[in-house]
Amino acid sequence: MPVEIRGLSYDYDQKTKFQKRALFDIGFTVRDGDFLGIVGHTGSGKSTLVTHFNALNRVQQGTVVVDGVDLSQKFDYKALRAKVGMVFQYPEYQLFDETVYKDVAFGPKNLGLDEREIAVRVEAAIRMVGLDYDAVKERSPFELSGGQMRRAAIAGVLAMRPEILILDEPTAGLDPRGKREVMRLIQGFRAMCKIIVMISHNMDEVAANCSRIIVMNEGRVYGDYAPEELFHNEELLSALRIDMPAVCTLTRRLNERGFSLPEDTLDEAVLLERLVGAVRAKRGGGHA
Amino acid sequence: MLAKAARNTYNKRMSFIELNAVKFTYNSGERDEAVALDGVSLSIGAGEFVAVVGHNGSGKSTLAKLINGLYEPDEGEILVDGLSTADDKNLFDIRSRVGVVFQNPDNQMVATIIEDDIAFGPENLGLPPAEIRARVDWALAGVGMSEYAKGMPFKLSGGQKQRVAIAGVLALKPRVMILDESTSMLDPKGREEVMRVVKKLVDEEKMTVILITHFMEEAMQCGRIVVLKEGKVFLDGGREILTREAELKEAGLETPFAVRMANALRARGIGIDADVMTLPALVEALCR
Repeated sequence: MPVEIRGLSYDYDQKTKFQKRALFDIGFTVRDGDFLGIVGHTGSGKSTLVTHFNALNRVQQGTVVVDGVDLSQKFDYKALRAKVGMVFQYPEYQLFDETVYKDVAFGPKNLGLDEREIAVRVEAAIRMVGLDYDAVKERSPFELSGGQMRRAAIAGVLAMRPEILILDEPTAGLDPRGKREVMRLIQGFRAMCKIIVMISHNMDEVAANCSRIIVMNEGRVYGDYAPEELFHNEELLSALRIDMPAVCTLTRRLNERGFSLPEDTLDEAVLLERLVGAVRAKRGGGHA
Repeated sequence: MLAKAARNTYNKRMSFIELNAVKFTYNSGERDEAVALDGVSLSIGAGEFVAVVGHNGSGKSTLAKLINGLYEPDEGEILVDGLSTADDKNLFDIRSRVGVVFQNPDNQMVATIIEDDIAFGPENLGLPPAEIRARVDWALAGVGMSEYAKGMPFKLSGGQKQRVAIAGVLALKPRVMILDESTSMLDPKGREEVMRVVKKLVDEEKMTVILITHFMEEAMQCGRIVVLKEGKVFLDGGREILTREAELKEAGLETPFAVRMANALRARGIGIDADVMTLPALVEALCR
C-alpha cells in the first residue's frame, strides 16, 4: 500500500490576498515497511504535507495516491480515514468523552462496526499503548496523567486499525522517560501498521528509530536519506538548521582532533566501544 | 534583639522566595484526588538562576502556580519577598514581583499588534502613558524583538512568540521570572533563542529566574538544579547533580549525552575528570 506523491503543490488562503505557497512540487513514494521520518525547521511544510495523506488538506495541484486511490479525484473519505490514522501534536487536547473507553471507541463507532468488534478493538488499542485496560476504561480521560492522556489519545487512533500511521511530534512535551516509552510503543506498532510516518524535531529520536528520512526545507523536499547518511553530514544539517544527533557530533569533533572513527553509526553503544578502543590505544601508546 | 534584626535582614536579602513544608492536593477529598506537592521546602535567593526538573506529574508546574499565588497551599507557607501567598491582600504585590511565562505561546497573546500585547500588563498597572511606552520599548529590546513592535503575533515563529510573551512579563518589571516549560513547544532554534534571552536577564538584569524544563541541556545552564520526584524535592544542588545518572533515572530523567558517555567511559577504565559535563569538555578530555 504505497503512498505516491507526484507534483504536489499547495497554497494557503488560496484566492485571497493572503495566499501563500506552502508546498512546491513535492514528489516521493512511501513504501510498505518504511518508518519515515520527516524533518525540517518550523514552517518548512512538514505538517501541511502529511495532512494530505488522509485528505485533511485537499489536493490542489498534483496527485497523492494512497493504496491506488487518487486523492485528487473523487474518493471514499471514510475508507481513506480508516486506512490512514493521524496522531496530531499534543493529541491529548483532543480527548473529549466521559470515559477512556468511550473516547477510544469514537473512531471505530464512526466506521459503523458492531459493538463486539468495537469492544475488541478498544481493549486491544488501550493495551497496545501500555495502559491498564481494567483500571482506565471507566475513568475520565481528564483524570489521567499527562503521559497517560497522550497514550489514550494514541489508542483512539490505533483502534481504527490504520495501515498507515502518521504521528506529528508524538513525544513533544513528555519527560525523558515518557519520550522513551512512547517511542518504544511506536516501534511496536510496526507489527500492525505497514507504514509509519513521524514528524519530529528530536533528531536523536529520528536517528534511533526511522529507516528513512525526508528533509523538508521552505516547502520543498530537500532530500531523501538513509539516517546514517544524513546525520553525519554536518554541513548539510547546519545549512538546514537541523540539530546533529549527539553521537554524530562527538564523532565529528573527535575526528577533527585526530581520531579516525568511522562516521557510519548512530548508535551510542557502538561509538562507546570504538572510543574505548581508540583511547586505550592512544593513551597506552603515549605513556608506555 | 539585634541578632534577630540582623537575621531578618539576612533572610530578606538572601532568600527571596521561601517555601516551608508546602503541601498541595488537587481535587482534595474527591475520587480523583492527586497530591501534587508533598512537603516541599525550598529557599531561592535574589538573582539565582534555578532549574526545576522532574518527571511529568512531579509537581513542577504546581510549584510555579503556587509561587505567584494562583494556588494557595493546603499546608505550609510560601513567602515571596516576605509576603505570604495565603493572604489575598498580598496577591497584587506578589504578582507584580513574580511573572510567569507558560508553555503555549498562543495562549498568552491578547492583542493583535505586538506592542499592544506588551503594553497590556503595564496598562493594567495604571502606569502613565510615557512610562508604558518606555517599558514596552525596553522589554522588546530586551528580547531582541524591537523591529517587530508593529507586527502581528500570529505571523511570528514559536520562538519569537515566546520571546514576545517574555517581553510581556518583563514590561511588568518583575523581580522573579518563572518559565514553565516555555521552550517545550519550540523547535531547537526557538529554544536557543529563548534561552539566550533568559541568560541575558540573569546576567544583565540580575533577575531571579526559575526555569521549569524537561531539557537537561537547559538545566545545565543554570547555577542550581532542583529535581522533583512525586511531589518532593529529590535532589537540590549545583550542576554536578546532572552526573548522578542512577538517581536521575530513578526520578524519571535522563543524564545529558556527554555525562552519560563520560560515565560509561569511566566504567570501562578510561580516566575522565569528574567535571566533564559538556560535549566540548568531553572532546578535550579525550584528546588530552
